[in-house]
Amino acid sequence: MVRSWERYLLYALIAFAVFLPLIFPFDVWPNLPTREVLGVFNTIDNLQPGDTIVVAVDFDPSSEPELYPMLLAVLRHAFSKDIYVIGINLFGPAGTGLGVKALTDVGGEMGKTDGSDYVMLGFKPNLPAVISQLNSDIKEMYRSDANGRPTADMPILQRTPKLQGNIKYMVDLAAGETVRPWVAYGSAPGGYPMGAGCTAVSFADYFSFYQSGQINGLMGGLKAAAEYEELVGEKGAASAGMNSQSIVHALLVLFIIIGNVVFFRSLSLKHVGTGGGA
Amino acid sequence: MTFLRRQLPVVIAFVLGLFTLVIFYIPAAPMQGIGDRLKIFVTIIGAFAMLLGINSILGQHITKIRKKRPGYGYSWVLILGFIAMMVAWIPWWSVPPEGTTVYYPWGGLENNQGVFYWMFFWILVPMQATMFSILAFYIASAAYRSFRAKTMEATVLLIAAVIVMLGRVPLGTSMTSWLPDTGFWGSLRMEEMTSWLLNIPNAAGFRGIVLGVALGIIATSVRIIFGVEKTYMGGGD
Repeated sequence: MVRSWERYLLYALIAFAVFLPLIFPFDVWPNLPTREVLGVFNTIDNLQPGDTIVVAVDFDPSSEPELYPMLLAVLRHAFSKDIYVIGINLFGPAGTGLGVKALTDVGGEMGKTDGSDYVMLGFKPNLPAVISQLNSDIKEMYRSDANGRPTADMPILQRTPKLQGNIKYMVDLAAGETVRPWVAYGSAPGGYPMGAGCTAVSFADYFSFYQSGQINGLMGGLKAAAEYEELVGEKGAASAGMNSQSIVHALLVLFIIIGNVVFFRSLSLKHVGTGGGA
Repeated sequence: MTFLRRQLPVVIAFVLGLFTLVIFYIPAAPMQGIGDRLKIFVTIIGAFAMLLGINSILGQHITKIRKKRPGYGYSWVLILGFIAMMVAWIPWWSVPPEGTTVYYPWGGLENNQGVFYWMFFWILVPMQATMFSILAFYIASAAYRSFRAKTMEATVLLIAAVIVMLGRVPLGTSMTSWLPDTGFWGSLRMEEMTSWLLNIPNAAGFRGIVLGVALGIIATSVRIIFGVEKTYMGGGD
């Protein structure tokens, strides 16, 4: 049983733990890249200029704080190596706007041209069917891009008419259950390697795909986004949020310890109250 | 009428289901071409399902407003928001600027002066992000209230959760960074223990769930194709 003042105290402590490190930033704990994040980074890093990758913006604004910084970091990395990017969204209509903004912003700052160096294909429902169709013909499924431009004469899709045999890598930034269909209907039959990024709560779900080699890299939550930002050499929103996340996690562990101390204390008091007999 | 409602859907499911299954194993171009056409049909049907969803949610909220049920004011917000976003997206056919083929004077994702852009990035995105972020407060409260070492299983879960929570943030990994990188002591580093937990017990358990789900999907698909499972037509059988 938690008294209401206890709940308000917990909420206040969490709020302070989130806000204070953002207001007064510090750089104490190094955020070393993990093997899983290096899997995605190294694959993109080893691609040649002129190669094409697919970045699936399979998330909506609810996962934006975790996955949008990841998307920006991956795009910065790809564009810095003159790699073409095909953006796509098969999760929900709201993800398309985030994909367009990320590609336009990062593409713009790195001197890339929409339609030639990158394209954002919009949302289509029923992802298994869309993914397997993209493997054989992109323009048949997408007659226009997310901005309503016809894809027929788009240079990037002239170079890459289908995913199978044309793209060198695929990264799915997923808020939901999209990694599995991309593995089953995209990467495996299409023969292209795949990596994934996901929210921290989904991170454990996708480890079996990483362990089996079906995806060669896995970025989980804000921490992975911050690692990628450090690898790219441009710290952003994810790196800024790492201190807050560190302190909140430590606070949660502290809450669990205190909760258990209270629990065992009440048990021992009850034990004493009932006479302590076995 | 019974034929249209009961038998025709079963025949369509049987013929198309079996056909799609067979052409998966026939790589010949004409067969794959037919398969591609079918996939486009599936996507079109999926779009109609979205229309049904819109119809359903609007219907529910209109009924709520009409009957003045508690909280019906929020239904007004939903309906007005829906109409505003939809109207802003419609391409009003004015002269498009040079280099564009479709022009959305009010909306569009490229038009960062437009109403749609403003509503999307300054209302929808922050509101949805906020809703998800509030979870942190509930998780904190839930962790304090219910994460108790009551049984052996609960204790194992609790210890694993604490290790993963600390192993997934720089503060946690810094706590054991003084340990050597390799050997027995290296395996006690927070990030190594987290990696082991995720890679071995977690992946093993999750793989079992995934395989179970996959087998369930196969069994249900076969039941639908052969007309044993008819609940998708509405009503049990």
